[in-house]
Amino acid sequence: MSATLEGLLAGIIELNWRHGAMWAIGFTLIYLAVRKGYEPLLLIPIGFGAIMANIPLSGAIGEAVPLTLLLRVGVWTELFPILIFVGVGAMCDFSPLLRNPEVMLLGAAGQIGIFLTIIAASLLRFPLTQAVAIGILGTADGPTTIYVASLYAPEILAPLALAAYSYMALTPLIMPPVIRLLTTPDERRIRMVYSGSPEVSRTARLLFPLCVMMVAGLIAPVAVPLVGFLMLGNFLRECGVAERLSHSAQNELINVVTLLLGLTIGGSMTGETFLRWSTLGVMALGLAAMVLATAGGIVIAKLLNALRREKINPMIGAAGISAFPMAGRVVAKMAFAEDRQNYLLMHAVAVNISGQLCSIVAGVVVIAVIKAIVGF
Amino acid sequence: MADTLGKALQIAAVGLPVMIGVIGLFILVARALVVLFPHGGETNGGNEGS
Repeated sequence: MSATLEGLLAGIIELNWRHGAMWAIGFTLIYLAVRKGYEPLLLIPIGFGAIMANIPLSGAIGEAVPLTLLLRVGVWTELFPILIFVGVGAMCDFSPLLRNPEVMLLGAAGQIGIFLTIIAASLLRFPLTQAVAIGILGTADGPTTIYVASLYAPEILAPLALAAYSYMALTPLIMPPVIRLLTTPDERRIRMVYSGSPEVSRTARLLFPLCVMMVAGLIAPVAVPLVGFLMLGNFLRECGVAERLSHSAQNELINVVTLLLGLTIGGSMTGETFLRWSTLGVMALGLAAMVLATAGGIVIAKLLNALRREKINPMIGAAGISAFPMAGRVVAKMAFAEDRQNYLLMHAVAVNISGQLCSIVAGVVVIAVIKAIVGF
Repeated sequence: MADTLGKALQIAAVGLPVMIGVIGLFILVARALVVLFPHGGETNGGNEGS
């Protein structure tokens, strides 16, 4: 009788403070998603997954059970992030980049934070593989972060994914103080004219994703899936003869994979692996990476201004991070708040789109450089 | 730690210029595509200008 009772109460008997702490984290994520609207598509499944994985003796984790299988099949193989890239590519309109390719310089500047964060993480005694994965948080790009983390540091995948998506959601809180610190009111009031032309031909829009995939692939063959799937999605969008595929990539595919990815990441957040000091370090460095990325874009925009006759508003440099479209919107909103006649949205969005492309290029380059320097 | 830091500095020293070089290449590709295939130079219509 007592054995039966013990069996029935096993889950309650096994409860410890780690389970409670992880439930609190799971509930907090769900609360932030539902009540505050922070990245609900991802934080809800992550929160649920975290609670499921931290019910004592949970059947959701372990050998050959759903969340573990999803982790092995979808994350360790990098399948989920690259499938998300098909959807992201199908959502991206690269026309603003083709009209004004120089904005890619600001997108590149937004990636400086990656390299500074890799150095900072090394100084804090993180192993090189983890330092690289943490540095990629500077892209402010969830799928790229998860892709690189799966390659080099799967053991800290959960805190990295959480940091990436949390800080993306917090872009409107993180960016403005950095922008205000690095720009003067006069600089923030610089107006930029948006001409809107010249139009870009369909052929150019079709060839661009193919060319980018081939150039990036030749530089870093190992990263072909990363760029290739993104550009496949973009080609589906632009070709005009695969509407159904483009629509599916932008909706069903990305939604289903995001749900599974979120659940899987949540499922990997067990108390034993998540409640460590290193998690706090990852979260702190992730924040630093975002701040450095924002600052990098502004500083390069100011340097460009020193060389240009027609000044650009240095705030648009801050939109060079990948958090799309939040970063572009934050910059446009700040410009409007400074000067009710200043409409920077189109410029900021163009830089923001270039940040999306540049974040993936940065991921590709980091993978290629590590292979060349370290050999893995 | 010194070894890790050394490698991290090496990654930054090589990675940053390589990244800027690749982006520079993309800028050239974009410029070339727009010049070689100007808007209005096509006959099929397609989803032109959409």
